[in-house]
Amino acid sequence: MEKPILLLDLDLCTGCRACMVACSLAKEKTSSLSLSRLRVLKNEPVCLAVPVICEQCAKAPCENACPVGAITRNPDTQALTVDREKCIGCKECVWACPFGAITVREGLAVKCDLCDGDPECSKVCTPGAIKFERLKPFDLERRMRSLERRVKALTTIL
Amino acid sequence: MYAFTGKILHVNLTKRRVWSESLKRSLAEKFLGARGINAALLWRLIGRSGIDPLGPENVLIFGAGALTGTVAPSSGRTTVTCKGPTTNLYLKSNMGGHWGAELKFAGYDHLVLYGVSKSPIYLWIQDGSVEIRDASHLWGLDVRETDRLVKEEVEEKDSKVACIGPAGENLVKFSAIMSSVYHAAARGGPGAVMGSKKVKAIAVRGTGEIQLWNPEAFRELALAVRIELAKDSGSKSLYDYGTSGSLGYINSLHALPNRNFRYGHLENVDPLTGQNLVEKGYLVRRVGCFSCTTSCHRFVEVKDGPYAGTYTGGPEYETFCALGAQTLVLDTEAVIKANELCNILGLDTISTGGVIAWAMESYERGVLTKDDTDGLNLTFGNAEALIETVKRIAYREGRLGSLLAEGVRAAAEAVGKESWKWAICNSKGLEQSNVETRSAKAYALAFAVNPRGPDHLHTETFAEFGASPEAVELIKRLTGDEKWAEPYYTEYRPEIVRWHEDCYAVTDSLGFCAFASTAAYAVNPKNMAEMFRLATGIPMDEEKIMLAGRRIVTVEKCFNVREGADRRHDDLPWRLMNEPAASGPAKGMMNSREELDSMLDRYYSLHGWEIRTSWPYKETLEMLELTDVADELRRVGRLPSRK
Repeated sequence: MEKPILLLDLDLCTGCRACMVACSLAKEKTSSLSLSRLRVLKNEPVCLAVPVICEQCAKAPCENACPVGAITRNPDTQALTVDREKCIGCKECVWACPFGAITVREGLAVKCDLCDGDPECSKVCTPGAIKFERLKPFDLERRMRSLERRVKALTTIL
Repeated sequence: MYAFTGKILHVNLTKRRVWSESLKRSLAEKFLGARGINAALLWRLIGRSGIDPLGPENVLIFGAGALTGTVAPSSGRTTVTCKGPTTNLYLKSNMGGHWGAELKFAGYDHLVLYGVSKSPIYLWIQDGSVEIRDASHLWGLDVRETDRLVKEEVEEKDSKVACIGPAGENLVKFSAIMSSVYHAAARGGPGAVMGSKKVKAIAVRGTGEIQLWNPEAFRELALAVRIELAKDSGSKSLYDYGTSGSLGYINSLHALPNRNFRYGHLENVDPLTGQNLVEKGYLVRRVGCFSCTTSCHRFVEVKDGPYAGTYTGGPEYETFCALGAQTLVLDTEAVIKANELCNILGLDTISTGGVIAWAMESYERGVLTKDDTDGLNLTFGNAEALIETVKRIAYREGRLGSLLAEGVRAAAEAVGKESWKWAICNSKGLEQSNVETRSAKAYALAFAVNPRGPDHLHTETFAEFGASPEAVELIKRLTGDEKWAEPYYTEYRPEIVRWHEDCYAVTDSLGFCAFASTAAYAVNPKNMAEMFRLATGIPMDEEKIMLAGRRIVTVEKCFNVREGADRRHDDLPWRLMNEPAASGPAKGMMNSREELDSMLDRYYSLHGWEIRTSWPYKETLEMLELTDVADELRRVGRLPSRK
C-alpha cells in the first residue's frame, strides 16, 4: 500500500510560513527560516505564496546523483533521507533536485525526512495547504493541476 | 538572550551614524517587547514635552514582538511608535505581515530612527549589517513600485520591505508605513514621521535564528494553542469572510456608521461585505501574516468593468465602512479601487474615509463649495469623486487636497462655520474608527481614554456584544454575570475596559494579533505568560504579565500627561455626544459628558489615577516600578499624590 505523502494545495497556502519555523523548531530545536527543510516562496504584490518541499520522488534524482550513496529511502516512511555520516558535501543532490528542495547546512545536505512519518509542517498548517495523506487515485488529477499551477506561479516569482 | 535577539539597532539620520545596543533583560521583564519596550524607549528618548513630531527631535521606533518569529499562533506583528503628528501625543501603530519576523532573523528586536536625513535614503539591513543607501530615485514612487525596486536593488527577493508612498513623503497627517505592500501601520500617521526623516524604505533580510529557552515545552504549548485558536468560532469566520464578514451583522444592529456617523443602517449593505467578496469572485486568496492560524487578510482583484485591473490587499471591515458606508459609495469595485489607491499611495483608510465623509457633509451643507473642491462634485455616493479625492489628498493637490491632508480637526478649524460639529474626532484630534460608540458603552469608554485617539486598536472590547460563546464566558468571568454581555449597559464597562487594556498591551508586546486574544480568545493572559516564560526563560505568570500590561498602558498615559493632556482629552466626537443614534434597537442612544464621566471616574479609580486630572498618582507609579517616570512628572508639576 502507498505511504502517505505531503500533499500541497497552492490555493490554500496563505504564505504565513508557520511551516518553516515549525520545521526548524522540530528538527533543529530553534526558530529559523533558513534552517527549515521547506520553503515558501512569495510574490508579495499579488500575495502569492508557493511552498517548495521534497516530493519524495519515486525515481529520485537526488538519490541517483549522490556519488557515495548517502541518500536512501526509509522503508517505513518511504522518505528519502540523508545519512550525514556518509554525506561528503558535494552538493550534487542540490543541483539534481528539480524542486530546489535540498539545502546545505554546515557543508552537508539537509532535506525533509517526513519527520519519521509525523511531519510537523502539516500539523501547523491551519488552512490545510500541506496535508499528510495517502494519495488517492482521484487526487492524481488534482495534484497534476496543482503542480501545473505551482510551476506557473513560480515563473512569476523566480 | 532567548526569544529576543538581544539587540536594538539605532540609526541617526542627521549624522548618518549606526550603532547597536544590547537589549537589557530587565527591560524585557518590565515591558515584555514590541509595544511595551517601544513605549519605554519613546519616553526616555524624547525626554520632554513640546517637540515637533515632524522635526528632527522625534524618534521613530520599530519593535518586533517578543515571540515574533516563532511558531506561536498569529504572533508576527510589529509595533511602530513615535510622537504622533495628528495629535501631538503618544502614537503607536501596529502592522501585521512579515517584516518584524525578518528584522529578528536579521539580528534586531528593535530599530530606532533619530534625526532627519538631508536627502531621501533607504535602509538595507541584512544579517547584522546595515547600509544607508540613496533613495532619490525612489522618492515619489508608490508602495508597489518601491517594494519591487528595493528588492531588485538589494538583490534579495526574500527581503521584506517597509516603506512609505507619496502620502508619507508629502507629510499627509494620516499616512501609513506599508510592509509587504499591503500591511499597514497607518493610524495616526507614522508614515508622515518616516517621510519627515526622508526615509523611503527599510528592507530587511535575515538568515539567523531565534533561540528558545525551552524549545520542547514551548513547541508543545504553542502547537496546542494553535489548535485551540483555529477552533474558535471567531477565527473561523475571520478566515472565511475576513474582517468585513461582520458588516452585515453590525448593520442588523443598526450600528454600522454611515454618511459621516449620521446613520447606523444601510438598506443594502451586501456590496460592502466579505461574503460578497467571496460570492462575486473578487476574492483571489486568503492571506496570512507570519505564523498566523487565522489568515483574515484578503487579496482581491477586479477583473472587468471600469475598474478592471485593480488588485490589492483588503478591503477590511474598517475600509468598507470608511470608504464605502461613510461616503455612501455602495459599490464593491469602487471601494476596492479606493482601497488600492490608499495602499499604494500610503494612506490610512480609516482617516481617509473620515475626512472625505466630513468634506461630503460640508459640501452638502454648503460649507464647502465647488470652489473649495476645485470643481469636484463631492456628493455622498459619488464614486468618482471619492477616488479622485484620495489621489488629491496623497499629493496635497489643489485646495481640497491640501485642506484634507491635514486631517479632520485641522480641516474643520480652517473651514470654521461650526463644521467641527461633524468632524468625527475627539479632543485628541484623531479621526474615529468605524464603531458606533453611542450604543456600545465599553467601546465608548475605551475610545475616549485611548492615548492616541478614538479607535478600537488599543483596547478592543468586542466581548461586550456577547456575539460568541467565548465572549459571553469572558464577560461572565470579568463581571460575575453573563447578563453584562450587552453593549448598552454602562455598568461594569470600566472593569471590562481595564482588563482588555492590560490584555491588549500584552498581546501587542508579545507580537500576537488582537484577533487571537480579544475577538477570538484562545490566546489568553495565562498561556501568553507561559509561552513568554518558555521562550525567554524569564519567570512569568498571568498576574505578573497583566501587571506588565498595565505598566505599559501607564507609561503611554504618562507620555500624554507630560505633553499636558488631562481628563478633558478623554472624550468622544461632538456628534456622538450630542446627536442620538438614528434608528434601530439603539435609536435615541448617545454618548454624553455625564455618561462618560460616570465611567471615567470609576476607570481612573481602578487605575489609581487622580479623578480630577486623570494623572497617575505617585503611589501608582511606584507600585508599577516606574519611579523614573514619577520623578520626571514631579519635575513638570504633574504628579498628584494620595497623601
